[in-house]
Amino acid sequence: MFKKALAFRIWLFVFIVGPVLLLVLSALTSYSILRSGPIQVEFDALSILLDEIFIQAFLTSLKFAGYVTVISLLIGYPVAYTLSQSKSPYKRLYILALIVPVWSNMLLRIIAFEKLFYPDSILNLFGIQLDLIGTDLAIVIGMTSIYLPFMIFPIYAVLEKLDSRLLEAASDLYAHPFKRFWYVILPLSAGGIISGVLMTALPAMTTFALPERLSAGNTILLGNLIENYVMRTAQVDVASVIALGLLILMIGFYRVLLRFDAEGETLV
Amino acid sequence: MKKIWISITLLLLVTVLSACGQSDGGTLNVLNWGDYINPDLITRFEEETGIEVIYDEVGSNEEMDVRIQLATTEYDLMVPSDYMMDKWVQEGQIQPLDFDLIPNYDANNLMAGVVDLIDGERFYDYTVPYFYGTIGLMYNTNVEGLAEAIEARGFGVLFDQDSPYAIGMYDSPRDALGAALMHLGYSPNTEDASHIQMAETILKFANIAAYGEDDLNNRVIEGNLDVALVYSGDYFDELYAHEAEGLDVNFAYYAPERTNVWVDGFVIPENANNVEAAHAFINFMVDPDNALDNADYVGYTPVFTDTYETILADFELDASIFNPIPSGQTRYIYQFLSSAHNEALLEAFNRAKSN
Amino acid sequence: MKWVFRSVLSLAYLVIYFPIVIIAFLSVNESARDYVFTGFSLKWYAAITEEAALLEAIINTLTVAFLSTVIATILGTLFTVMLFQVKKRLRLRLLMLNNIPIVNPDIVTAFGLLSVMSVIGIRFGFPSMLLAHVFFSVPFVILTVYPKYKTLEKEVYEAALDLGAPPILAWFKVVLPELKGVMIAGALIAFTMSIDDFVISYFVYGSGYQNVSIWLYSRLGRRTFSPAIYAYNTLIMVVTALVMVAIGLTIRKEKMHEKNMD
Repeated sequence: MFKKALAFRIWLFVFIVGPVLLLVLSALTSYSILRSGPIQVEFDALSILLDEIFIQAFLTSLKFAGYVTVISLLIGYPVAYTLSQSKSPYKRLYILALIVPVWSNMLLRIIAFEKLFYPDSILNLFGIQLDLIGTDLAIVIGMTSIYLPFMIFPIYAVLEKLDSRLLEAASDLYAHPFKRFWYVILPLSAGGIISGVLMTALPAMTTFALPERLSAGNTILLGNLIENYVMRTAQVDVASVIALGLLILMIGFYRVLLRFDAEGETLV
Repeated sequence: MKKIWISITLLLLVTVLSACGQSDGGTLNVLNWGDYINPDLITRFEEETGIEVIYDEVGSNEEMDVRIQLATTEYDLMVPSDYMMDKWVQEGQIQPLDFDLIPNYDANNLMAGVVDLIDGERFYDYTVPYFYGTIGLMYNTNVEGLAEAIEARGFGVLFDQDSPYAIGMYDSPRDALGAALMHLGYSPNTEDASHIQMAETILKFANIAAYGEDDLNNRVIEGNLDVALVYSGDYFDELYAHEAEGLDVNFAYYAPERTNVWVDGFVIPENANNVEAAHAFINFMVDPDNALDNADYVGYTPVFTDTYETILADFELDASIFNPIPSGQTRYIYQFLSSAHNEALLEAFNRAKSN
Repeated sequence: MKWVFRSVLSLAYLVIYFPIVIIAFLSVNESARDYVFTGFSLKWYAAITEEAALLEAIINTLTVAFLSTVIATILGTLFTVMLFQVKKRLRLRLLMLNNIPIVNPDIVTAFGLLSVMSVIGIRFGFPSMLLAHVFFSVPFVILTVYPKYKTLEKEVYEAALDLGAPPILAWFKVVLPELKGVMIAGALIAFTMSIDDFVISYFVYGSGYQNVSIWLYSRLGRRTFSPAIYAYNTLIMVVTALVMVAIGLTIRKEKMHEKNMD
């Protein structure tokens, strides 16, 4: 078992290669996990990719992923930088304080936003009345709140490991702090940034509970489509096509990341 | 350190054992809708019979269909609606009931409307009816002019392009497009592509504030929605709760003349493990006292005449809306036509939603 | 310049903590209708133990989180050891496959697991839930243990072997104690992922075995919903925060200790 990492390879095969194979089978042939029967090549399900529903959901997903990634990066990078440079004895505490919220139930945090975004809410107590449900802003606020930590962690991990001597050398080279940042620090933290983008953009495109709650069902992202096709109409083949598309997108992102970080160290 | 490992191993063992262990009377896997049973009755059934009830909930008939097809849990008892029962009988997914094992069931005591709904249907020998009801409009009575508009135009108020009202739509293709089709004067079972197309169009241009399921009724009461397409029970449910708590009732229900009527019933899947316990559970639930306790909690219309009369009198309900099929009204029951028809409805619905 | 960073920092904490504060606020609201605040009350905290289904979901969540963390930590450490039995090229490839569940959208992982489990024929309920949680936790453990093990493998383990220790003994006596720190870190991540999971559990749950997220999702807007969930969440937050303060205090003590030493 140990010799050639056999057990690990079996594990990977069953739970990582296995699902991908099933998705491919289900997307491109008449095979279905729901029925048994002869298997023939069949491309019917692929037509979803040209369907208005899919294109609309894809564009909406891209839009929100874009918003949330940019906002999270703009907030997250300075935060990660400040924390990594901090010499406070409580530095670890600040970092831990970013992890604590993850212990709070994610779905419940979404519900908390939902409760506030309706006109009649407990905020009325303070004379505030929001009417955000169904707006893009509601979704962007919710997503930013939930995914921001996942942008901060990988960037922080990279910045934290930067050699301080390197920074000193950089100060000698470039007098201006901006130049120092632009030419030295930023390129060195690219792995963290890409990892952070990956960890916010993909979940933002594929969450289904968040858009469902914060738009009252009016916004459909790719995640909602998959959930719909699996749980509401049992069209597993169509869901497989969309899932495969996302998988390919993920692998594309991931290959970019691997150039900077072959062992995936920025991922935890 | 050693102690920690020992306790971890112990805990592991205990959990695994408890997961495997079964109580004396065996277990009964039930799949039902959310908020669709009085939880006290489950406890009472377990106490009386020693059978452990494992209870799962779903939000739609379609989700039940997925779960039955995946066969990842072998359910012993499910409570689908009419058209899903029809589909399952056609596919051989459910088995005929053994009515000898359900002595409490008295088909002669069924409401006339229920008899009409199940008589002559394919699923007649496969089910014991549970509740029935309509879909209709629940609205906030504080909104001026709304009651009059609803009585004049029925489902039409849902589909105005620039509606002054905050509208909630039931998040299900069958019901949302069904309401549109019935408003347009077609049958909700139409297979005519042009009819479905028109329903899709009016839904697409309708000004829908929220799609939801069982949460729509609360939105109407809160005042965050003015009117919503709901199941009749969503309204009566809240009505009972308000009466119990002595709160003011600021909402009402209206079932247009042309609307859907449905009936849900117990069915036993073909691959059920504990068929006997399933029958015992049905028998327990149709016992007159239990049926009354259940109808007291669930806001839908009881299928047995005695239970119906008692609830109607106890809560002083309006029979013209509590009875899903008052005489002289046109009501439609959904039919399962084909998978292709179902998929066409879903696609039309998704297109209408994504605008 | 400094104030810019400070305000961005505050903004970040504000954005992240805002919903948690709201949940805490709702947890002490006397009214069961959570759009009106009628007064302060702790009754929902008492209600946690009265809501049988919620209590069961909480126990399930913690059981699955605890067991999956233990299993995933052991399995992940073993897998890491195995990784060093193969050549570097293959090792990096396996590692790449290992990382897929971390980067993969939850819903794709969930749907994939649903397919594999229904093909293998695993009963949905506790077994499927536990397996799924072990599955998505293992990669995190491997990723945390791997870098440390890489340095140990070369230095400590070989040194022990040179001193004549038998391989197994050398591993348990020398390598394992050194790994303790990263294993705990990996376990912590695994636990965090498990306790919070909704999407994957939603696809593989069954047989009445619900966790807190599924309890919540299936009761939204229903009569069986109970604000006790707000109380549960707030309790978890308070406990975690207390642990953090404890850590903070030890840090300060250590620092003071160091200063005294100087």
